[in-house]
Amino acid sequence: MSKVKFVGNSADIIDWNKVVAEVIDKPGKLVTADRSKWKMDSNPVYGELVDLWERANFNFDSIKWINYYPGQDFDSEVIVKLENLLKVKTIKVWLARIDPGWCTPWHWDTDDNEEEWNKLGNTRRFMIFIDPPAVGHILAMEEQCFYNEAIGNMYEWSDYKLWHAGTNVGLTPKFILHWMTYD
Amino acid sequence: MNCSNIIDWKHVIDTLKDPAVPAYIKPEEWSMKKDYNEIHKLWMDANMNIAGVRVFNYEPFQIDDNVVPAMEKFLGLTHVESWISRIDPGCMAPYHWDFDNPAIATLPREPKRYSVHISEFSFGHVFIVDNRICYNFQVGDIVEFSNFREWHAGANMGLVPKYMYHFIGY
Repeated sequence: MSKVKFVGNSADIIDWNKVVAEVIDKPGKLVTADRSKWKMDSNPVYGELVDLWERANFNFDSIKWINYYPGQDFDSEVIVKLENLLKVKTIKVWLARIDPGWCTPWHWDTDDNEEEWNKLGNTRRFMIFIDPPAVGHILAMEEQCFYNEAIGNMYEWSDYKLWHAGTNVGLTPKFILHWMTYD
Repeated sequence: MNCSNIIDWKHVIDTLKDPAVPAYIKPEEWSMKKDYNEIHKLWMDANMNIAGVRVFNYEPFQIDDNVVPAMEKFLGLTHVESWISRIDPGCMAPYHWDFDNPAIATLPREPKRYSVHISEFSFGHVFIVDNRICYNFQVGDIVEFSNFREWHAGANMGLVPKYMYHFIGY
C-alpha cells in the first residue's frame, strides 16, 4: 500500500508561479550539514541523522537547501486557502528549495515541538509540488519516487516521520511546499 | 527486460578491479572537447554545485570478462563501449549525455544504448532518462535509451553506493 496518497491539485486556487516569483530572489533560511547550526542538545535526532550520513561517507559538499516561510517570505494567504481547501489547521509550513547540484540526504523531519503537535489532534502531513515539471527535480520517499509532478499536485503522507530525500540533477531551482497540519 | 538470470551482478561488483576512474570532477579540462564544453556551459549557466558532481567509472578491462559476451548475446548487439559507473552517497551525475568514443563515428549504423541496474535497490538511488525515472528497481533491470545520445542523469541520496552497467552496441 502506498504511503503517500494523492489528494488533489491546487493550481486552480493558488497561483504557485507567483509564490515562487516572490521567494526566488530572497535568501531564505539556509540549511547545511554544519553541526554547529543544528540544535543537537535539544533534539538528539539531528545528531543521529548526521551520524548516519557520516557513517555512509555521504558527500557533505552536496547538502544544502533553503527554507522559506509564509508571512516572512511569501504571502500567508496561500496557507489560508489551503486550510480551507483541505479542512485542516496549520502547525508548520516551509517551502523547501533545492538548487542544481544539491540535495537533502535520506532523513525524516524531526521537530523540537513534536510532543506539542500530538496534543493538538490528528496530525496530517502534506507536500505540494509548486513548480512546473522540470528535468532532474526528484523527491524519493521510501519505496516511492516523485518526478514530473504537475504544478499544484498535493500529497498526504501516511506518517509525518516517513523517510525521504530530495535532489536536483537538473538545471533550475526546485521548490516543494511542506505542510504539517492537524484536524 | 531483466538480465539477472544470465549475469551474477553481485559477483561482477565484488570483482571489479580498482582504481575506478573519477569522471566529471575537472570541468576545467572539458573545454578541450566541444561537446563537453556544451554540457559544462549548461551546468555553469544553471549555477550547478560542481562539488556534488562525482561519478567513478570502471572500464571493460576492470570488469569480469564474461560480461561483454553475455550482454552481446542477450541484446543481440556487437559491443562498442561499456563501463560500470559508481555513484557514492551524496553524489550525482547531472543532466548530460555520453559521447566520447570516436569509434562510434565509424560504425555502419547508429548504435543502441542500454543501462542496467546492477546493485540492489536502496532508498535514494535514482536514474532518469529524459522524462522517465527509474526507482525501486530490480537487479538486472535494463533501461533502453531512445538513442545513444539521450540526455540522462543519476543521483544517490541514500546511504550505500549505487552501481550501473552501461552498454553501447550495434
